[in-house]
Formats: sequence, C-alpha cells, structure tokens
Amino acid sequence: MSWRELVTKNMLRNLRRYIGYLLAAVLAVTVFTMFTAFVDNPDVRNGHMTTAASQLLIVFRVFVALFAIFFIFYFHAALIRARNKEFGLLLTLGVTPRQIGRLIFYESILMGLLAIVVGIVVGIGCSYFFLLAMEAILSIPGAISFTVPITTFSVTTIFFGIIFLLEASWISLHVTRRTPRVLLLGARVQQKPPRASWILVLLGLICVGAAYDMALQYSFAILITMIPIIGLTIIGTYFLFSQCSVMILKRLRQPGISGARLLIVARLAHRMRDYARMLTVVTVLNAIVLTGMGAVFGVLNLIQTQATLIEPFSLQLSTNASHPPSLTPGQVQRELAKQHLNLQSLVSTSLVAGIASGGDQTRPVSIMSLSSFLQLQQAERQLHPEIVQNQTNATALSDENAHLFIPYPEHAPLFKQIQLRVGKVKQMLQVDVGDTRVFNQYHGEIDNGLSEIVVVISDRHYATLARSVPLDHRWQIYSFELPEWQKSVPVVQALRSHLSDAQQSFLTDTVTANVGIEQFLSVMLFADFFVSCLFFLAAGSALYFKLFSQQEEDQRQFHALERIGMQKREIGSLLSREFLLLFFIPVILGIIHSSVALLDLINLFNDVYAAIAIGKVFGIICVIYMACFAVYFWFSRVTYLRRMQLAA
Amino acid sequence: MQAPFNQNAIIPDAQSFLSGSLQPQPAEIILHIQNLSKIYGNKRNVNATRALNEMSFDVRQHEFISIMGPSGSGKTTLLNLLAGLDRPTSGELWLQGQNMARLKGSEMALFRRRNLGFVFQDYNLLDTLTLGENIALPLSLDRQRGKAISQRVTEVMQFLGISEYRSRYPYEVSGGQQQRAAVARAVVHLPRLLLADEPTGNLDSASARALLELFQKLNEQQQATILMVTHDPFSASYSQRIVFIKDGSVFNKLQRTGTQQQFFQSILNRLAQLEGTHELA
Repeated sequence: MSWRELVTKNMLRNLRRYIGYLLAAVLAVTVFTMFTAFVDNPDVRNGHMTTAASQLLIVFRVFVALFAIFFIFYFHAALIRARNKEFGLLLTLGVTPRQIGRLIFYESILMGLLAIVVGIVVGIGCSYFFLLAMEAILSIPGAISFTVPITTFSVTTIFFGIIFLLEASWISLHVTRRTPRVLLLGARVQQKPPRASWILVLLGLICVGAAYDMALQYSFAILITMIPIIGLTIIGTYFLFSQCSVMILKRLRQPGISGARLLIVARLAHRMRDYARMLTVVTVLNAIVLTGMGAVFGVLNLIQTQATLIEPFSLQLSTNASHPPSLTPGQVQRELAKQHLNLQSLVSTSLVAGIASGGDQTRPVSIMSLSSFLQLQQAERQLHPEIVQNQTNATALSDENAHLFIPYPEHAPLFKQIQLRVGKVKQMLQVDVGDTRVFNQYHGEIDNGLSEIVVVISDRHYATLARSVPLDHRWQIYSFELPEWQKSVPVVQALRSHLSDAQQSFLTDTVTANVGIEQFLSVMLFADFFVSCLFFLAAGSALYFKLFSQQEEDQRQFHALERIGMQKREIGSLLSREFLLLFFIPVILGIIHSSVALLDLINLFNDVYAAIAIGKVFGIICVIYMACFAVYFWFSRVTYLRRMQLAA
Repeated sequence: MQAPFNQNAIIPDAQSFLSGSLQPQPAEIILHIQNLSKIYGNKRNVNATRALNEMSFDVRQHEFISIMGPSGSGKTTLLNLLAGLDRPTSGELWLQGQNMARLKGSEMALFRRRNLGFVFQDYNLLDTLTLGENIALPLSLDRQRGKAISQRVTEVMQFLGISEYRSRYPYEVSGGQQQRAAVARAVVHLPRLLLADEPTGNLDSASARALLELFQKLNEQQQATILMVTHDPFSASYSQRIVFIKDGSVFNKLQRTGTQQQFFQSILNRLAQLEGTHELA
C-alpha cells in the first residue's frame, strides 16, 4: 500500500470526525450567504431605513464575517487537536512533517471548497423559505421579494476562498511545527491547572462597568460611544468567562461538596479557558439579538402606543345635523357585523361648534356637556387602559365654569378665562385647562370649524345652548371602540368607499396610521428579524458544535467514572446540568447587556411611555428567546446523550 | 436462596481500619465463586467462546490473593464479572452475602460502589480533579458531605504517603504517585474487597515495587482483602495465595510458604507447568 493510499484510507475512515467540522463550515457559509443575499437585496437597499439602522447593517456584516472566521478556525483547530495523536504516530512511522503539513493543507482546501458549494446552495434555499416564513410571522406580505443578487455568489466565494486558504496554511504550519511527543501526548501535556488572575478579573469588571456607565451616562452621544461600548463589553465579557468564572468555580469547589457538583465544577473550571472565546461570541450574539429586537419592536410599540393616544377611537364618525355625510352609524354597524368584528362600545355624542378666544388667540372649539365628555372618556379608557396615566379628569361644573381640553400638552394656554361665541351668543367662562383627548386627530381640513379642542360645560348649560344654535352648528359624533381594532383595515376601507373625497375627513380611525407605521418600518423590522434569527442560529450552533467537539474526551472521562461505579443515569444528569449552565449563562448575560443598551435608548426618549412600551416588548422578547434556546438546549442534550449512549 | 456463609461479617470501621486495632477475626469467606461460566456469543452458535467454564474458588477476609493465567485464560472476564461490568451466563458470585449475578443495573452500580474498590492498570483518574478530589469522589458520590470526607481523605493520603500532592492534578505528578492516588481512591470508602487489575502494568520497576509493598502494608496493617489479577510472577510473589487459571477454570492453587524469594521460585515452576511450552501473556 502506497503512502498516498494510506493517507486516503485514513482520511475516509475519519469521516465521522470530519462531518462535525464540515457541518460547522457549511453553517458559517450558509449564514454569510443568507446575510449577503438579504443585505444586497434591492428591496432592502432601497427600502426605508434610519441612518443608524443602515449603519448597523454594515456593522452586522462585519460581525457575520468575524463570526464565520471564528467558527471555521475554532472548530478546525478542535478537529486537528482530536487528531494530534494520529499525526504523532505518522511522524514516528517516518512520515515527514512536510508531508503531514501538505496532507492537512489539501484536506482543508477540499473541505473548504465543499463547504462553499454546499453552503451557498443551502443558504439560497434557506433564504427563500426564510422570507416566506418571516412574511407570515410579521404579516407584512410583499415587503421584500426573493431575488439572488449576483454579489451573493461573488462576495461569498471570494471571502470564503480567502478564509479557507489562510486557515489551511495556518493550521498545516501549526501542526508541522509540533514535535511527535507533543502530538502523541496531545492534550494531556498541554493541560494546565485552571487559574484566575485577580488583575484580569478586575480588568473584566472594570471594562463591563465602564461600558455600562458610558452607555447610561452619555446616552445622547451614542453614535460616538457605540464602538467603544461594544468593544469594552466584548473584552469585559471575555474576562468574565475566562477569569471571573474560574474564580467563582474555585470558590464553589470546597472539599465535601457532592460528587456530581464537584465533577461539574471541576470540568467547567478546566474547560473555561477553552470555552471562554465561544461563550463570549454566544453572549455577544445573544445581546445583539435581544437589543435589536427590543429596540426595533419596542420603538414600534412606542410609536403605536402614541398613535393610539392620538387616535384613541377605533372608528369615529362625525355628522353635521344640516348636511350629514353619506355614511350612517347603522351602515358602520352592519359593516362590522359583516366582517365579524366585535363592538366594545358605541358612544353617540352631540356637540356644538363654536369659537373660543382667550389671551390673544381665537380658535374653533367643540362644545359638549360634561356627561357626554365622561362617556367618551370612559369608552376610551376601557379599550386603552394605558391612557389613564396622563389624562386630566373633568369635575362638576356651574354655569360660569368650563373645562378647556387642548390635546397638545405643549400648547397649554396660560389664560384662565375665555370668551365663548356660538352663532350670535357670546359668553365669558372661567376655565380649567387640561390636555385630555376625546377626538381622533383629523387628517386634512374639516368643515364648519369642528375642532379637537373641546370645551366642556355643565349638562344644563349645554341643553340651553344647544336649543339656541342653528342646525349647521350642531354635530353628532359616533365613537366606536373595537377590541380587535388591529384587524379593522378591511372595515375602514369598505366604509371609506361610501364617502366622497371631500367627506373622507368625517371618518377617522386608529388602524390606518398604525399600518402606515408598520409599513414605513417594514424593511427595518424585516432586517432586524432576519439578523436575529440568523444570530440565534449562530449562537445555538456555536454551543452545539463546541459540545460535540469534546465528545471523545467526554467518552474517556465517563468510561473512567463508570468504572468506579457511577451510574449512567447520574452521568446523564451531570451532563444535563452542565448543558443547562452553558446554554443559559450566555443568555442571561446577554439579557443583562441588552437591558443596559435599552435603558440607554429609553434615556434618549426621556419619556414614561417609552420605558413602558420598550420594557414590555423587551420582557416578551426575552421570554420568547429563552424558550427558543430551551428548545436548542433540549435538542442538543438529547442528541448528545444518545451519542454518548447515556440515554435512559 | 440462603447465603452459604455468614452475612453479618464484621466490618472494620474507619477508626479501626487505620489504627490497626482490629481484633483478629476467624477468617471468613468474603467472596464465593461457584460454577461461574461466561459464554460469549449465542449459546447455539458453534463458535461461541467459553470465557469462563464452571470456575469456583473462595477468597477469605484479610487475604491477599493473586489470580494468574496466560492470555485468554479468562482473567479479564472474571474481573469484569466481579466488577459488575458484565453478567455471568450461569453460576453464582457471592460477595458479602449478596449474589451479584442477581443484581439489576442500578443496584449493581450502587453495590459495587459501596463494597468494592478498584485499581486499574491505567490508574483511571480524572484529569479535571485534583488527587484529593479524585480520592474523595467515591465518598462524595455516595452523598457524604462535609468535614468527614476531608478527614478521611487526609488519613488515607497520609497512609499512602501522598499527602503533599493533595491539590495537584494527575497530569502534574508521576505515574507512581498517580497509581498511589488510585489505590487511595479504591480504599477510601472501606470496601470489603479491593480488586486490582495489573496495577503495576504501567509502572517502572521501582514504582511497581513500592506499590506492591503498599498492598502488603494495606493487607497486613489494615487487614484489607485484596484480589489482584496479574501475569507478572514478581508481582504475584507479594501475595499470600495464588489461583492459577487456564481455559476458564481453576488450574491449581499455590499457598505461600517460606520467603518471598522462595515463593517467587515456586510460582515460576508452577507457571512452567501451566504454560507448557507457551509463553506468558
């Protein structure tokens, strides 16, 4: 048998080991392909995005590239480590280091080429299904069409061609320089007892602390501080894993703790040095996903909340007593029934259009009775309980008193007295000023001076007034509250078709503006969702492949444990606990990092609503993310235990 | 089934084990092997291998016994059965009043953990644990906690002369020290029987000698019962009695008389008889 044959056979029989690395390499190429295809998609390029978002996409492109490089180098090094003994043996049999180097080089190039081809094909296939899935999940159909930009092929092939070439040269050189002794004794010779240095522990804590402080103190300068914050966080996180964790594990490692705990602590302490890089990458990926999702969906939620504050009524139809529009409240109700939408409340309010002067300002106002106002307010609060917080309440009134509600807090007037004019009647009133809104914001001009500014007078006073004004000053407002207003787009469209162009402004609704915001942000939402899914996949896979790269060593250890009487079940539960820690510590750390980032964002808004809206969304996202990770954890655990023949 | 010997054998407690204050006891049978057979492969298969064939012998308390035999004689099979890593095809294997052939998987693991101590040729230490932790492991696995473990580990390590290496990792000490640690781990929980599988196989002659003297010391001072499987006549000459096996059954036995040198000579003679012209494994 010639040396060449020997090498080929040897390689083929090692295939099982290679599969793990090959899959990792394919995954790296796939992720990169998907990302490139997405970013270079014309719909994304030309779609609306804030400057920060498009800058972030560039930053993420660098991240994805770095991740791919890390993935390939890290897992190939692990594979080569596992094969050290074999190379050592070949060296002692008289194969020259150069030959071994060449062997490894060719192998690496071959696997690299295979990974590029498979990765691009899989990447394009996945992109297609990914877009379909995302459109379904985000319910914004047609936002981005599926295309494969030519750059996907060129950029991916060139990038990975270079990476694999460099990697192959590096790793073959690395092995060539090793002596047979080191190769044969492998990991055992290179093992060092786990040690942590106080200085590095401190450095890690200082880095994270400084990054947090910078983020929270100088929120306004985020565009400048972003890069140092990210850098410090990454360095700090690395030291947290490589140093602090070892220190904590050492503390936990007291004589007399239970056997299972001792084994976990000891195994982790020994492997932390090796794990640290991977755990840092995973933590950073987690933090990016959680921050990105939290920020984009949080801001979306915030804008939507604010939209509901401006348009609190799902539907509001204004009809003038003298020339009513061609849409009646009965038609609205029929349409709702037709579309199977529940009606929570319908308030019919009569009001009188007038003109109020106060200070040096004169404005059209809508005059209504106190009881009408209270009814509207109640309906509003029932559907949007969050509104209560900054609404001013109306109190009982005498004939000389009134409430003046200007729903724009920044325009709060200073005067306490107004002159109210309706037709020919003029009257002076003492007013309490507030900013409660009981009308949806009008889009476009409205006839006959109907206004969002409301003057509330006592019921008795209103009855007298209403009797004395001409018909064209009298209005009837029908306010509909729908619990499922998000689904009311078709209803609104159907109703609007009844109205002429001039009459469109008589009907206002909540959903139109909301959908508008969503569509406005759709590319950003899409990008965020896409990057998040990809990074989640990358984070989970990094853990998965890392765990599987250590299986030979684990097999040895567990064999040793079994020989001294440890049960399979006990080993299984030990592994489960270890997996749980490795999977969820990066998630928890990622949550902490991203909480700080989002606090930074909330600081920018400087608004209670922002804190609530973003906080709520972030909480939900954290739970979902944990659940996704739990699935990954479970999958890895089950496969690994099966592989180790420990499955119960 | 009634055990063929007294189930309530007197067990030395931790104190007496190390202080050596144990009163001499009438030698009781601690391990009873009767008609033990192990057949690999299908019974109907003509090619089935009879690794053990109706093997019978006893081990008494406080005995230091060696099992010798050429390769393929069934040494490893016997040890695997004793260790509970494998199940006999037929026959009985009584240890401390318990027929091990009848124990189920997890019962076996627990029984083995509590009643047996193992020393392996490759030491079988965990690289991620310090020597002290490796030694404490059998106790910690049995949910013992706290200071008692620590104290016990100290005692054993002192006895075996490896106290100073307590917080070293296996890869930081020599093979001889690793094997001593392995012995310490095997006796730390006061097993009824210490099983050793070619314990000197990976050691240089000086370390091997030191380890065998340690076994003797454990046997004489601590009354430990030791069963050692070896193919090395020099190692075997440290024990009190030798069971020679061939083709899966007991070929003959040899009791030590006279000096170690004389015993060594008679082992060689007996081996020549056992092997004929064959070489030793």
